[in-house]
Amino acid sequence: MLELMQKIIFQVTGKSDITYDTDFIQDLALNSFDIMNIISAFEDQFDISIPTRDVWKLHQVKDAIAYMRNRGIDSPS
Amino acid sequence: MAIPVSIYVSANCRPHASTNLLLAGVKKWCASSGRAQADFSLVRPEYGKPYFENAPDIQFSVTHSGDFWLCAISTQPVGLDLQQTQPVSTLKIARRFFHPNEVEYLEAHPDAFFAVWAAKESFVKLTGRGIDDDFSSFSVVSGGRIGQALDGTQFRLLPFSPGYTLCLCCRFSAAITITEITEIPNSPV
Repeated sequence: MLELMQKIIFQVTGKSDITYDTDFIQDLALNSFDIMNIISAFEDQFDISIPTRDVWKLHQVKDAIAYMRNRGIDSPS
Repeated sequence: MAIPVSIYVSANCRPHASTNLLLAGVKKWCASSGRAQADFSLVRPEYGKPYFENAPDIQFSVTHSGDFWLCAISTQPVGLDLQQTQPVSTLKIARRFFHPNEVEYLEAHPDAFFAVWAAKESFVKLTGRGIDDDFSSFSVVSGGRIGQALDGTQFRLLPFSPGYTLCLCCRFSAAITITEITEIPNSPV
């Protein structure tokens, strides 16, 4: 799952060196639009809808991975 | 009569420097407006806009994108948003986050995606609601353009560095000045 996240984040933002602990704002310097752009890519990749209210709970990459797993996604679709 | 709005710009967009840059901007604003400086204490509530505990009347809005960090400071509420233009699936994102009027506007003006986004985000910064599930429930497009809408709210698309879109949102006539912050605060707060 981490490798897939790394791939999506790189494709959307050009940022690399992504780990479980990478913080989207503090480490990657992403702004709100960048984050929504990544979320849209996650939705496309995993064929789910992510409510905007949930987006702001996903501070780090590991939060996004845990969120996907809670939504029943544990492997690349 | 126009109300002054000071916009401070820095080419340092490191997230850890944001608070120090804001404090540097407020100090400059105090100096230029003849206001006594103080040790400003920034409060970040879980919901709503951040504010200075000992100076809640100072209104500000912070934004960063690409290579730049900016803040707008005034005595009245303001919202500021900067977006670096980049290749994105504009219509796909617009259909999720934009009002139908904005999607229609974008279909006629394909290059306006970041102007619409910056206007919308500047509005939710003005109100303090932030980007939420209602982000698509309001339109910044009125009368076929991005402009005065939403009960007197004004959207000012301001000239900025090539490749960027900058929008100031306020509910008054603004006299805007833009000042660069050249000294870079180093230590994170």
